[in-house]
Amino acid sequence: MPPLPIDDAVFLNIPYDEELRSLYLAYIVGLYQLGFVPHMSSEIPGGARRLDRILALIQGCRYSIHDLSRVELSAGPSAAPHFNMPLELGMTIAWQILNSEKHTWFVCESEPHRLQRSASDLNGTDPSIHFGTAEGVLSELRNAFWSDRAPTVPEMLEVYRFVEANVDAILTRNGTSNLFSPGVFKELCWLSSAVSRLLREARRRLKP
Amino acid sequence: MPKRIQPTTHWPTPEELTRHLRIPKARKKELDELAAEGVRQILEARRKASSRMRVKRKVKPRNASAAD
Repeated sequence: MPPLPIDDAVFLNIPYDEELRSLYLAYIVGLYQLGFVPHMSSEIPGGARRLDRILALIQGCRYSIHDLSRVELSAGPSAAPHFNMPLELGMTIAWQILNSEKHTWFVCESEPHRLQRSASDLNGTDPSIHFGTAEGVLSELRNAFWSDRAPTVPEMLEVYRFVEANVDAILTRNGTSNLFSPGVFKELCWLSSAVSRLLREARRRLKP
Repeated sequence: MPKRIQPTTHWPTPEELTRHLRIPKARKKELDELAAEGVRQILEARRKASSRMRVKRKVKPRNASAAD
């Protein structure tokens, strides 16, 4: 049997699409501010057993978020639909059905009622609707992982704006324009984690 | 004969799976310094916003209703 999942680990199944840069950043920043650690399949190196390792990552995470908002074809000459998200959601659902106490998954969409057309087998599942905005993602994350210590959405947006302002410098330092590359993801995680931790400490100092 | 899939015997943790992605210590320090500067800016902006709110409350006319 696999080991118990890590309680604060969240598998993030989102489209690797530059046009959705703001959503990607909002998921990373928002999860750290709520006390969780995001994991993505881009962290895992390629290879024949890649799917096995993605499944292992899902199994190691107590939660997962599946953003099915990118239903359009990808941009560019070799346009193709994004099948990885539904594939990884299917793997997660099968794992959760077999181990219901070990995993909880959430589905996100940008448009209300579209999921009923794009993945009608999920009828009965209430997706979190973020309307394609960073603020919407932060708000839905806060609803999904609610706690009385959670920062407000405007407070979360402040951190989001700070991290967003530093993305280009992180990309330049990593010598890439790929926001989803493992090195860039790790640095965004480190920065978001450090800001969130310092703000939590400041809040504790201010409270009597 | 089709190849038989062997059952998994080792279940790696998320840490094991992503162990190859380590940020060098010097870079961690740079990012920590950047985070500290960001937090300073955020707290300063919050302090300014709350003092603006206090000024607004002070100049509110006495006969203004609660709905105002």
